[in-house]
Parts: sequence; structure tokens; C-alpha cells
Amino acid sequence: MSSSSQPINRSITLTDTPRNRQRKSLYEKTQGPQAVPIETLIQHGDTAAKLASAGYLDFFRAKLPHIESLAGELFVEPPGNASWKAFYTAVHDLRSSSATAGYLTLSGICDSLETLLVDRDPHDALMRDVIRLHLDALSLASSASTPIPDGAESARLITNLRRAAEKLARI
Amino acid sequence: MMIEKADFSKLTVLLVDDNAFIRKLLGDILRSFRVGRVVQAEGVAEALSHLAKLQPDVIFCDWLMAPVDGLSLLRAVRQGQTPVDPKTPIIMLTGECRVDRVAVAIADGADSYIAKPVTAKSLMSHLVKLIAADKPVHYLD
Repeated sequence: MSSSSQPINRSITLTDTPRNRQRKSLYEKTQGPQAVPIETLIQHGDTAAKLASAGYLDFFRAKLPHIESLAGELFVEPPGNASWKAFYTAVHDLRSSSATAGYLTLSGICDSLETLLVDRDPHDALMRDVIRLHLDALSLASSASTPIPDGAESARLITNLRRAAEKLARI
Repeated sequence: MMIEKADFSKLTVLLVDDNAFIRKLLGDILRSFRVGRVVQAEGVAEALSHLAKLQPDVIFCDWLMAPVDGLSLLRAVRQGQTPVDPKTPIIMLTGECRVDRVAVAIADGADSYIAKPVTAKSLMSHLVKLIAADKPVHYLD
């Protein structure tokens, strides 16, 4: 075969390949004699989630230095720039993972911090201090030596953080 | 259509989330549902590198990721810019539950939308919703 004919052959091969071969629908793929009741599968899922969440505090503690480091970069450039976005993204991420793992104190503190970043004027003189307060609260609530505050204590802590945030001017 | 039982062993699921804990938790839940193959990607770039080989039946994708967000993956798949069927079911995961944000994801073609915190029940209810929709999906060779 001459080398010049190869592109043509490749072209024929591609044309002959069924590019839109239909496969089974999700319904067809998931029904059959091995099918398990949905409720049973959810119970298995709940057990798996509990086991996975058991290690969450270690994960959270490992993330804190990164958050601290991002916070340290906030005030070296104007609000709205990359470091503010990176900090917001990291806080948002920790808020949702904490809530998923069932650590409501941590997710509540992150939620307050996230709201602060979205709603309050980053030029406000208090911004740096109130961010610091939230980071200290996260550190305390995830500390290995200090127990996470219970429901009432946690609620008080989060309420106080929100009140501190409200001292800042709105955007 | 009521779905009371399911066998997920023939499904391939791609999980895209930049949070290692969420990837592990969702992966563990999906495996406990007996999903046949669960592949994880920590970002859009890694997800794109898996797509051709995997041909996933379902994609779970976090929205807020850096440097490329999950909406970009959703749009790329829907616009046929990836080597998978543009109709591949995609469920967006996000901590955002504002109506306007949900509307953006739906308008861009998300099949479903899970607001974190994610639970086994919420994950299952979205899977069941997809099964009940019974959409055919195509392989792209």
C-alpha cells in the first residue's frame, strides 16, 4: 500500500465507525434481577457517609493553614482581585463540606464569614479584624484539645460573629 | 415512573470536585449504592482527560472550583466540545442555593442540581430522578 493512500483509508475507517451508537438508557441499565430496594441502598449510603465523616476534623485541621495563608494575602491587593476570590472560594468550600460532614458549628462560622465577604465593604477598617475573629473561631471549634461547643454554645458563638460582621458597612 | 429498586452495578459515574473530603464521601456513598465504577477527578482538566475512555453514565460535578468552574465542564459537554454524548446526564453540586444560580445551571443544561450538604438520600433521589427520566445516551467512539 502506498503511503499516499493511508489518509483515505483512515477516512473510510472513521466514516464506517458508528459515532452515535445508542446504549441502554439509565432505566434499562439499572433494572434487573439484582436490583435492590432504594431504601436499603440509602441505609447503606448513610452508613458509608457516617464512616467517611468520622475523619472530617483531621481534614478540616489540615485545611486551616491554607485558609490562614490565603487570609494573609488579602490586604496586600485591592478587594475583588484574585486573592479575595481564592479566599472566598476556600471558605465556601469548607462551609459546604463541614455541613455535609455534619459539623454545623464549623459550617455556621464559615457561613458567617462567607456572608461577610459577600455583603460587607472590604474597605471597612474593621474587615481585617472581623475576618481574624472568624478564623480564630474556626481554629477553636476544630481544635483537638478544645471540645467543639455544643448546640447552645455554638449558636451563641455564631450569633456573636454575625453581630460583629454587622458592624461593617454594607457594600 | 416509580423506581423502587435499582441495580447500579453496570453504571460508570464520574465525580468532579476539588474538595478531597467531598470526593471521598460521595465516592463511598456511591460505592455503597453498588455503583459499578466510580472515578474521581479533582478538577475540570482531570475530568476532561477521563471522559473519552470512561464514557460515564452520570457525571456529578461541583460548581465552584478553581481555576476552572464546573459550569465550564457542563457547557463543554452540552456544546459537544468533549468526547462524550452531549446528553450525558450531569448533576451539579453546589453550596449555592440561590434561585438565580440554580436557574443558570438548569439553563445551561444541568439535569439536576444538589445543594450541599449532600446526603445519601439526596444523592439517591437525584439518581432515581434521572432513571425515571429514562433518557437514552449515546457512546461516542
